[in-house]
Amino acid sequence: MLKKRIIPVQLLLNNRLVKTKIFDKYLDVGNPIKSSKIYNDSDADELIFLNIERKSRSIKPLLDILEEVSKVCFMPLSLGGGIKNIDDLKSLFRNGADKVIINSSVYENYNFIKTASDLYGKQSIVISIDAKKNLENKNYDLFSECGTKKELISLAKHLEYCEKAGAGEIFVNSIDQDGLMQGYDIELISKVANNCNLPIIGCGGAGNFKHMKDAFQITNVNALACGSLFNFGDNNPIRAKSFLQNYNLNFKIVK
Amino acid sequence: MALIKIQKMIAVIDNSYSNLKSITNALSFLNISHVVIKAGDIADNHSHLIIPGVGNFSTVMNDLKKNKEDTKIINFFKLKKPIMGICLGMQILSSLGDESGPTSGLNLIPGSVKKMHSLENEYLPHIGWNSVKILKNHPVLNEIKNEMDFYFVHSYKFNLENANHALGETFYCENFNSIVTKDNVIGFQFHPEKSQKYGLKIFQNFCNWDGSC
Amino acid sequence: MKNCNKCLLPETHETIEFNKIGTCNICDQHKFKKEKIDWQKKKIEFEVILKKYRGKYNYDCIVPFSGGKDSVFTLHKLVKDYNLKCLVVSFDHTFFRPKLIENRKKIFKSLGVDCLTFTPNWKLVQKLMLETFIRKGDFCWHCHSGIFAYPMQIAIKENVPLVIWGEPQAEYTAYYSYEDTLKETEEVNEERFNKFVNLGISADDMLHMLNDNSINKRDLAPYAYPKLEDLKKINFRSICLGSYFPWDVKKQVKIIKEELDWEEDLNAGIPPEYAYEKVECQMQGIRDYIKFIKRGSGRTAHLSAIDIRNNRIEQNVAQKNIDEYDGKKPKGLDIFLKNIGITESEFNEIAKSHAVFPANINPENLEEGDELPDQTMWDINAPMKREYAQKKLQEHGFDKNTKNDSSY
Repeated sequence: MLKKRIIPVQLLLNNRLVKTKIFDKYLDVGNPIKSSKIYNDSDADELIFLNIERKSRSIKPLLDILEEVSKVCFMPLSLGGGIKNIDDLKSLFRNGADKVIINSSVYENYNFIKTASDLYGKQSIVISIDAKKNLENKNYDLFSECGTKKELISLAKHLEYCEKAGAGEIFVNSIDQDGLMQGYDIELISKVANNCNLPIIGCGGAGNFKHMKDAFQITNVNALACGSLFNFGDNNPIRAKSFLQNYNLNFKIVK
Repeated sequence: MALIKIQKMIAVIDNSYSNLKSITNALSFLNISHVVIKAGDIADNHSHLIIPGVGNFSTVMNDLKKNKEDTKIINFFKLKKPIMGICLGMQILSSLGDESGPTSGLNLIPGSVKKMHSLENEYLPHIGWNSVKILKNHPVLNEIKNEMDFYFVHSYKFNLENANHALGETFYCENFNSIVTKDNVIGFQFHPEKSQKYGLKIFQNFCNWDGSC
Repeated sequence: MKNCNKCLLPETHETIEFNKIGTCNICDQHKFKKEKIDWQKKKIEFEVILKKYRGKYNYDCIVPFSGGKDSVFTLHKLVKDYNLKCLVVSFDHTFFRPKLIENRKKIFKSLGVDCLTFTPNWKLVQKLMLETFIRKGDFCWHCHSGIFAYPMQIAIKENVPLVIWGEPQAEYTAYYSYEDTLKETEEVNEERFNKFVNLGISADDMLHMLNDNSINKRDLAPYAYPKLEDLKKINFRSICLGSYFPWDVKKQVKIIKEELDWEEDLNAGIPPEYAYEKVECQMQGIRDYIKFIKRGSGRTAHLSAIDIRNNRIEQNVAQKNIDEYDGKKPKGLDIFLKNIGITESEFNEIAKSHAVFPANINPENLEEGDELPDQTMWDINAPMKREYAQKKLQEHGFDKNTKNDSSY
């Protein structure tokens, strides 16, 4: 039986890991390589690295840490933030990435997904969507460029295009809930689940194990990502899974 | 009489699209001597072969056939030296794949590679951790417990001609072969280099295997 | 709240999982320990390991030591039963209780051992306590990290590769099971350190988390786990005595009392019959209090669970103890608050923010416990500067109640 996944998200800024609140206010949460090793030892299912440098968008910060991280992590590594073209993908895959996470570049050119998917396989292309609730029309607005640029396309249409072009997974992140540790945006994750036929990773807002339990049980997503949960709580993936196992959610067994 | 000890040297095939780093990192972590080569450079001093693989069956096989690199692998097999295929590297061990039109494989383990059937709430690709039911003992599975989870990421499966070549079975949408083996070849649909503790154990066992069973 | 129907531990206990009949995995592990391990065979395996290292280095082994029941038993066994030349290595977390210090002196003299004790920089310890209390609801990072990393550093420095610890984790949690004991897959190494000892924070992580220009990499050196390659160079082996001998706390306490005149010293918030537990640390009561607020379950529940598994106590008696002793605010709390520079309401807010679902404890409703007899002897010098604490609270968003409060 396919197991659920818990995926720690590590945000890279100035060669350190940081955590944000509503995509703002950074707090240092560690050394990227040491932290990754800790996640490897505490049985994380995968690891996501997102480069959130706003000043210059390139994949260099990711490449700077990728080699060392892949020496200490023997689970899938997904990297994103600043990916612009196929050469970027080539560099990341050659240096140890298993999946790439693309956000902004996709809005300009859905064909990028098709080319990437044809070359590297659908399973290694993750499309990341940052969304914020529009309080007027109750829909979700999509943002690119680290949450600074509002895109005009609707969530449903964007998902449709991404799926058609060959995306393998969708990573959906709630800007509103980011870092607040008050629960996932269940409505957002459900909307994504209802509008595409791809595996989904929900992200943004996990503060305790109950939030994860609710998100898994209500939305039925395959994977949940979290940032603050493991940085600002006496939690780690092992404990999260034991807790959730008691509510009949099944995770990988490696003992 | 002096015993000749064969130095272990694991050859990892570079077929351009794979994430080689993870495999070489795993071997380095285990302190196992290894070298990354094109299939055309398979040499006598290579004791074991690892064929990784990510991407497209046809593309990879056509690349191998172009420079007759496929015959090099087949010769290695004939020397009864151990070969491990991972994911697409496992699939090309078969006779035939139909990913971008029918393409013949290395034909080391008879069978064909077909697309999996997705179900309503079970999408393709099959991504994530899933359990492997071990069907019989094998030196490469030494100390691997039954029903442990490994990391899968694929949309195609290996249909065997001979059920005896099935070593591990997994369920996603349907039952499919997650580990196949014949003589001195073993193939894993999942990624041992991404499967933490037990994945590393598989590498260790493989590198200690002499190809017999 | 779900509880194990055998040992009564709640679902908020780390790594606990319940099976179909409602019993927990830690109880199952205990059963495995009793039924599936050939302890005679394990003893022989232990002796094989000792043979490999005995007499070849300046010391046969390092024994990480506090002076509590486990490390005393371990040291006693290694010196008396195995005649090993041990280097005792202690990381002084700065909160040793007076009787513990006496016990240590007595035992070192009685057994005749060389010892190294490292006492870290108090000013840094204060900052580390505040930082990890806020981030993790656990102020003992310096202690966890120091105790496990420092002896490994000494192993390299002194070239003493064998390090022998005491109790195996499988007695208390499921990070490792007794199956790991059987297959020798629980070693006290960096993986274990990362799994649960260091709260997920390495020394390198902590350096920048502190966000303090006066602190640099050198300052965090005592807390850094050495590189694997350096440990491999000395051919290190780091094991638990309890992986080779069945751990039985009550029997072991009896031995060390009789043979070494080790004295127990009741700590806060637990029944008097457990006076041999957790004797070492002045801050233990506060630690257990925080645990209660976070998990709805305290030290008495933990100790009762062990006794239930060993058939030493009935469930109803255990429950009575738990109701009576767990969840009392320790009198030593004020000292702790001054040590890290926060008010009690800030403490409550931070502790509550780390509650593990479904625990829902309101510390304002909890009664106060009795003062420990030695509390007047605890050192209260060099309290934390309030401005530093306020800045930290602000950094982490806990500053709503502290706007103009410069006293505490």
